[in-house]
Amino acid sequence: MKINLAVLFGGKSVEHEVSVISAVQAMASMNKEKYNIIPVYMTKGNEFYTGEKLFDINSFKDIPALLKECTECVFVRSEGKVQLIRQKMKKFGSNLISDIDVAFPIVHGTNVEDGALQGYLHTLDLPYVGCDVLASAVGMDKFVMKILLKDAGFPVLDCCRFASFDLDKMDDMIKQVEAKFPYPVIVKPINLGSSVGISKASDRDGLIKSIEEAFEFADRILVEPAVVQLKEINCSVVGDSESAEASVCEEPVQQDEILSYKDKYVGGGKSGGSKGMATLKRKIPAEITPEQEEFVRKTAVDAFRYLGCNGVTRIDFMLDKATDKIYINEINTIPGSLAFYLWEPKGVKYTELLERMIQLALKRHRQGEKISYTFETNILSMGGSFGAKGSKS
Amino acid sequence: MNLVLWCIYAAVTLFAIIFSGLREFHMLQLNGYKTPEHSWWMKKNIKRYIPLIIFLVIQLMLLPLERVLTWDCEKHVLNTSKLRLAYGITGFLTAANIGIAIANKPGKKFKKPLVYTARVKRMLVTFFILIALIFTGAFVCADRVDYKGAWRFTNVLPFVFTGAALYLTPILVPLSNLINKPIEKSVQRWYINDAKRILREMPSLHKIGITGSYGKTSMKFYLSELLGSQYETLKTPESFNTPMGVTITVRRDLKPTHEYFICEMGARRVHEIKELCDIANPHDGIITSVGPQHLETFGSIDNVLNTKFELADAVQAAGGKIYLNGDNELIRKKAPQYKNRILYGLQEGNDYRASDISVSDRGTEFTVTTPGGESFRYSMKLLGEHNVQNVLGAIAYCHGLGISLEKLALPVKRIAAVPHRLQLLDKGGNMTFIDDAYNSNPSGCRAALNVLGLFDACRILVTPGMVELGAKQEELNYEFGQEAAKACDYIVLVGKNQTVPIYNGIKDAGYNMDQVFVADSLSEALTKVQSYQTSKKKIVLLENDLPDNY
Repeated sequence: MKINLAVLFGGKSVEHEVSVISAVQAMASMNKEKYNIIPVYMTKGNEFYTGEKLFDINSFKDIPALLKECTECVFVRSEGKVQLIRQKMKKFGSNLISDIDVAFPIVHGTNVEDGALQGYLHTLDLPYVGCDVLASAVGMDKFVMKILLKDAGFPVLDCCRFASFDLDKMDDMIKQVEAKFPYPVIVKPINLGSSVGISKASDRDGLIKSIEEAFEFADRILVEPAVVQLKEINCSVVGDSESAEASVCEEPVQQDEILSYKDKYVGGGKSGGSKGMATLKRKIPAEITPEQEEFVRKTAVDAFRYLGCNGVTRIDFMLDKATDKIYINEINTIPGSLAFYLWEPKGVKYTELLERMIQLALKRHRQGEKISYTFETNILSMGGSFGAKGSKS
Repeated sequence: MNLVLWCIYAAVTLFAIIFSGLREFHMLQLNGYKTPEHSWWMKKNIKRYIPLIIFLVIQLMLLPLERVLTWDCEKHVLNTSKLRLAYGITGFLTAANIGIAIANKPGKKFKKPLVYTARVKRMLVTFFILIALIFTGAFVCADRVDYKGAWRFTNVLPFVFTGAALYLTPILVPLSNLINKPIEKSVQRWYINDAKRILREMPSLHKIGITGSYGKTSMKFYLSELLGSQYETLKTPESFNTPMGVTITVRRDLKPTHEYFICEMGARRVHEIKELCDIANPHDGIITSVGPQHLETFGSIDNVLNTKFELADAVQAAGGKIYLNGDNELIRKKAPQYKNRILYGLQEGNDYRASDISVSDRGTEFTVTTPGGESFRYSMKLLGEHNVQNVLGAIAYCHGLGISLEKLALPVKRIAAVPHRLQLLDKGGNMTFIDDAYNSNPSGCRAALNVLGLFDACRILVTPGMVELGAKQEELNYEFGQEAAKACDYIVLVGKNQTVPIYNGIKDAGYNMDQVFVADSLSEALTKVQSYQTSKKKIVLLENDLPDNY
């Protein structure tokens, strides 16, 4: 019997296409001897589809045609297990597509990576790969993450947080920022990954423009001081709160001032570009001193365990070349291409990395089962008068 | 009599057959589909069937009217008084059958309603075939054609046949069960073979068999707690320990993600463990104890021993390890025959040993020493030596797999006690309870007193004594009193009359009778317990709980 593994990807997110690339890549590397892989594509409207065509990246060039060849489906919990069944039921015959033993969400961005999809899978009581609801949510909200990490003594940049309903009080916002930080500053949406809506402001006019632009993408934004002599360093961590391990460090090569969405996913290379994070220009390992590398890797593991992450994450750091200080910038709970390219230099094959992630998912689910959430008996079924017998022993 | 009348009668009767048939199937299901149990139950509830027997007799009274009626009709001479009688009886029976239908009409609330399992559906098919045969009989016996070639139904036999189908339903129901027996056997075979196929398709699944006269269910539970902390583990639920129980578990609950399968194996007869081993093919095994249980079906204690060791034979053939409770004398004697054995227990000479057992109001602590000389101190919520033995067995098995002793500390601590079985209840304050309310046998009482005796506290026993022990009840209670005198600082007996033997036992042991109190009710007993003045913490053993009728 093979383990039925549902790979969920896509979804209502600005990083929809990136997720498709990451997922198709990952599915190609999964152990087919052990797993029966069931791709579940979530459209931009969050409808679920499954089908053989979803294994081929070329099918995604024409989505409507692709969907016609796929089956719309839905997860249900029934008969003590999770089943994937046809959404449009046949009148005769079985509507069961497959039992599902484990889910593997490979999704990026708000609405999916932020704990929403994780909560859905948790409700189904289906073991799922990656961070749980809380760690996913914290990882997505850059402000909450900063507060938590700061409280535990991790190096993070200070920031101001603003909400879109205060847009008419722009002057107050500017005053607040200027009182706290010198220019230049960075403005970013609180909960979007992949550099969307992030911009740098060198003066007051620039700040106003940046804030307005950021509010196009999110209801809450934050402003933090810009590191002028910036070197970005990323490090991946695999494991769970009990034990975790750091990968090699990478240094993304900057083309724009900040690594923009275009750099990350569109302008990858000559070959047409849709190969995801793996083909982005970068230096591996990062050009940093051994001490700095040691610091980054240790801090990455500590932060990962502190936030209760699970599976593979990528933690992005900022090195201020002027002061040699290193800050945690953000945590990607489901990094593009699952950061496999940071593990291969360490001798961890992608197939092996994926296997480790699945085992971690089963472990978390198993440990969750050991804690009792329900009473064996239904208290309501006992009848009689409540309270009269309640305190016998 | 004519066809229209018969049709009405048949329709009414058919309804009554369906309703009372379903009721009978329900009862058969509650009796576990077992014919002896069901017939015993029918005898006990004979009142249910008396009306049916009466109606059966009444309809026989139609038979003498048969010829008269037929002859009269053919001659077009109406014997009105006899005809009236025939119509009268038929009318009465129609009303009676309506009554039966109403009395058995579905919709009544049951605690455990009839479940339409595949087996019940198959039996229903057989049942209705039988009914159809009888109705066909009614047709065959009908005085069929008159001079115009029309159906007449002028005789009474069709009525008698139809009625008999209803009045004999309580017999036809178990009969269809008997008829289906060979079918059920082959259905079971199919399920068992299917379970075997599923297990074959998961070659990496590691299977563990657990058997023993006592403690196998506890062992299964503890092992799944410990093993489940590290691996995906499935255990047979509750007391599913028969071939069908294992089959159901495999077909229903086994998932491809599972890594370990713990299979409880029960036996009442020789070779039943071998039969289970042929299904589950365990890699390793654990035998928790061998004792005089189910002797009436086993025949001798040697048969019990050899049957339990069928697991060891199977495991030896598979090249696995057999974990044995080395404290059990019978097991220890047989153990040397098995090279792959690992003994666990509290006594010297075991490979895995538990020692330095201490109890407190937080539970039990004990030190486990491995064959390699490693040792680790565990603490758990459970009480009682047998629990230390069983948890030790589970620890030994996990350690044998390569799980470190330290890693097992948390899962051991997390094992929960079975409610009302030596369950430690710390309600805060100055009192801790040991709830052993579900226990009522002498050896269990002795074990509970042993646990109580280990506490360094003010030890109080609250008990109504043991009941339903037959001829030896008085003697056993007397002994219980004598032993209680050794282990307790205070003794509170609940109920004046049935605790006299215990009282005498305590007195004859030379106990200070000022420290004994006889209460009328449990609440009075607990009030008394609360009133005792002591500088130490109180530990209260609630031994046995009697129903309201004592």
